[in-house]
Amino acid sequence: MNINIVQILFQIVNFAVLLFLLKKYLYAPILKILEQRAKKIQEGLEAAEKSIIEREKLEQDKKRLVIVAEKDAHRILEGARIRAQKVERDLLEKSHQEAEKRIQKTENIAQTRLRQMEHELERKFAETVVSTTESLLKDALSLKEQKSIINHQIRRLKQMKIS
Amino acid sequence: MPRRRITSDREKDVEAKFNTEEKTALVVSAIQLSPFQCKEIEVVISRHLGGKYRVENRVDESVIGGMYIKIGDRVIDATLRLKIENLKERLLP
Repeated sequence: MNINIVQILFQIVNFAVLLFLLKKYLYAPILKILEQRAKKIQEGLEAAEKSIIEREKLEQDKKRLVIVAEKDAHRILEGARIRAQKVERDLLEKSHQEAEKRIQKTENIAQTRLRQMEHELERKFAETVVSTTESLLKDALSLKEQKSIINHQIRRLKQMKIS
Repeated sequence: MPRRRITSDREKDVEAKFNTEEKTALVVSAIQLSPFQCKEIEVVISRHLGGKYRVENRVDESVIGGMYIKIGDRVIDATLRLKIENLKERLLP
């Protein structure tokens, strides 16, 4: 077996050159690309984690906002309910007062009408009494009684003091 | 001219003695007064007021009963009509 030293050296130099060239023009860029890719993956992972955290934060914010909105809605509803109750009470009170006023007015009218009727009745009664008394006296007084009344009045006239 | 009012009996006697002019007393009644009643009224009025009075009797059935005497501006209303009117006033509110 012949060993060609020159051939071996050439092969060594050739391999060294190839190694140098590979290292310089292939391995370094590939490594750089790999590093960049790893970096991008890392950044992506970080961004994903960040977005997850952000999303959780947003979820929490959303929950908090929902709670606040629910509280606000509840407060608004409660306020509206209280206002509605107040309006209802006011309306009820107003209608009650109106009804009271109408009842009072009707009662006053009825009282006035009753008084008028009473007065009218008393007047008619008095007139009836007077006209009945007149008729009775006219029919009932005999000539003798008429004379008797006049004689009685003449006797009283004698006792009177006329000046 | 207004007459002076006579107050004492003495003044009335003097008035009766010297005042011989006959005056009229209007008496309204529901029935005709008898001459005796007219005379009695004349005497009473003359005694109270002095002078001489003559009764003029007027019949008016609206007085119902009793009599209404008018002597000058004096009025004595003793009719049943007045009593009924008073009753009406008392009955009315």
